[in-house]
Amino acid sequence: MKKFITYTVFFICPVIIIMVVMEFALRQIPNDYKLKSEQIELKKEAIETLILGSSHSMYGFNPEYFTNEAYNLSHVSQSIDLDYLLLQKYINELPKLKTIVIRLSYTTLHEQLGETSEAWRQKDYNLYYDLDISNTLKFNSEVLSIKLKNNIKRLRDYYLKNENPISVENSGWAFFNKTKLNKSLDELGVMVAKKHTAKNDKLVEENITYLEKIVKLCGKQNVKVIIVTLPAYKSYRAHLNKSQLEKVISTGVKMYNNYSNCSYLNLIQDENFNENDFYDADHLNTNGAKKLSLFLDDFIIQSYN
Amino acid sequence: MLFNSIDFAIFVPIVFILYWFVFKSLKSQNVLLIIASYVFYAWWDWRFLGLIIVSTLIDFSIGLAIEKQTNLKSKKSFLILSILLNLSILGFFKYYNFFIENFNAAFQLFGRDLDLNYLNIILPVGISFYTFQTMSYSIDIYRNKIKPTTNLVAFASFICFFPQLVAGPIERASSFLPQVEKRRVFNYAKATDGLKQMLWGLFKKMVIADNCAVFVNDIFENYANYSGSTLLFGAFLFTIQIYCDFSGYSDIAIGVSRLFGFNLKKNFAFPYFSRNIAEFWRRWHISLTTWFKDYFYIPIGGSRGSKWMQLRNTFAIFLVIGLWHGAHWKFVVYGFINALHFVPYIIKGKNTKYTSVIANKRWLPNSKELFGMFHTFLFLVFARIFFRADSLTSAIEFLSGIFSLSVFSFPNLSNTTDALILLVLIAFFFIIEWIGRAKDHALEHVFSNYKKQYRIAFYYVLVFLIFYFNGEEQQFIYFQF
Repeated sequence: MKKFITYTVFFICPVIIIMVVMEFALRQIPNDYKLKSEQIELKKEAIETLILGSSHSMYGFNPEYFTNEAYNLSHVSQSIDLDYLLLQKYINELPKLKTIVIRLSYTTLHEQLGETSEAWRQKDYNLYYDLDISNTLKFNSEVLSIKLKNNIKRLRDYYLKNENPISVENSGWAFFNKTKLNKSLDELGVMVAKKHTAKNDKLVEENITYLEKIVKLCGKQNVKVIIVTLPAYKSYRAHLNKSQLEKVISTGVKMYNNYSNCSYLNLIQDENFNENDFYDADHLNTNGAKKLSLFLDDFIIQSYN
Repeated sequence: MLFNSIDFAIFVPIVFILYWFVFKSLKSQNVLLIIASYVFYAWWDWRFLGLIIVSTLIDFSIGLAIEKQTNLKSKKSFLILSILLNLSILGFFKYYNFFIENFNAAFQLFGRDLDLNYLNIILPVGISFYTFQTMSYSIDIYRNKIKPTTNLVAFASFICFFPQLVAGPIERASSFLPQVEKRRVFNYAKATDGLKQMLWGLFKKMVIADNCAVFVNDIFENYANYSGSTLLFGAFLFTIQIYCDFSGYSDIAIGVSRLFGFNLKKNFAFPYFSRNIAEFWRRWHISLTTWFKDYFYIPIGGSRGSKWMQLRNTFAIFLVIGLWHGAHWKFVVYGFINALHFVPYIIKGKNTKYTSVIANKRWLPNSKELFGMFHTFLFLVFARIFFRADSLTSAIEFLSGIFSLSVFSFPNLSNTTDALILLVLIAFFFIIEWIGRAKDHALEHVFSNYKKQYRIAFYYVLVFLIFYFNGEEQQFIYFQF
């Protein structure tokens, strides 16, 4: 037994040491989550508009074009349950907060981060926002949550190539560096619409509850909520499942009807957005983000100021 | 708790230390195993623990009752009661909606709308495995093959032993209960061999199966958009995936058991090196096929009687094996086509032809063996389309997609580099399996003639490959059964 334990420990020790060193080194690398959590701490006294949501919001709303101080706290694949947890964490720390902007996309009601292939991003909320969204050890560690292949690349890019891994501005907004995609917008629309169409409705009720919780929480603090269904490219729209889309839109309308502090803007087929405004079938580019942000700013000023 | 999770990597050493250093008496070790097994199961869903406990109590009591009866008729009554209770639980959770669907459809054919309601039932993980284990216990007592145990703790350990609780191997009381009732002694060679088997199991699951899954899921979900060659590639990868997933699970289960001084049944014997379908089914999911052989095939006549009887029994066992996998017609068809492929071997009397290891004491197979292996594997690639597809219709559409001119084109994959890397890893996997094909598991004697440092270096290479290439964490395929 002694021999077995000694040999096993000797065999495992180098693996554990390498993992610990890697974990330490990976946590030193700047990332979008760390940056945003630091930035919101710095700006919390001034923020009047907080933008929440997934990549659609992250690329779609540029706080630079908002008259009032705005901050974009969206992240790729951030689902509505996380929007709620982030809001819950920060709402009492933002004394000037007047408006919340939250996206209601085609996927919003049917997805939660933990159920998708992007579940590994849960570690970022645990580690950098201190949200405690998962008790799983895996999602409390950089090394355990991402495959070694990708972690080696992250370490090499940052420490050896001196590349900056940050993809967002200090305002929380992000833009696409690539200008050209391998596929046309028409092809992408078909592909992405299919990918975004849910297999079942099991999360819908729970996600609607989260949306309601967000609106109610804001209501208590006298904060307005603007729910936005962002513009999407025609090929994407054409291939969406009608009932899934209808559920999304009717939920937005229902929220508007049921809650006095809530507005709903359905811009999915807004004709002001053309192919020059899209990076891909469901994300706006810099141009589109400017257009949408100016529109929203105007809406906020007209409606609430 | 998944075997390929960090939770399990922490759970096993804790139980191991408690088992060998704290709970030293036989009874306390068995109690610890029960607690550990219930924790292991509850990690998935604690609500279904009650079901395991009920199953355990039913068969423990019925086993004793059968033994007590003096006349055969009352023994039989208790046996029937055990089978009925076990099959009712299994039937409710696994087949209720399937039967309702088919009842409704059948009545609609005759112009009557039954409109029976479906239930939103969650299938408890491992139910098909532990139910079969408990049933075999009662049947063996009835057949006087074993004596019932009077030790409830030992019996509960047999039913819920965590390494094999959720996906087998399906153990028999005759081989497992004596191990539970006897004091275990730590065996260094057995434990290190267990670790090697676990390492190989993890490699198969996390490197091969989970990476195959990425392509397989995409191709099977979007089969209408892919060329025939891509579909064929997807079907090929699924054939590899299902083996590495399930045999990987079994390897880990057997390996973990060895750390605790238990020997579990061998569940896979390098089935893809089989020279015909009959040999394949002797090497694939052995604990299930032998279960059906002993408790279904032989009682209905087995290979006794005329060729027609043999054929009837063969079709019957394959249909039941198909249905065991799930309440779906696609599994029935899967069983049927396997049985169909069996027919020529039964007619020619060649179904027991290959019982030894392929290319025994040779490095490479001869051309006949190679052809046999290729032919068997190719059959499985096509048959398993029924297994993987969402429905019977999807399977047929998938097959017709393959049989089109586009099968001669180059597969259009989302990531060709990853596909090529995966093919290299699959080739590496097959080489190691081929080298170890005469052993209990692939790593048993791999590099055994080499110096210790080379062996250790090889194990580190495997550890590195597991961490480097581990795909997105996927549940084991057989958890759904």
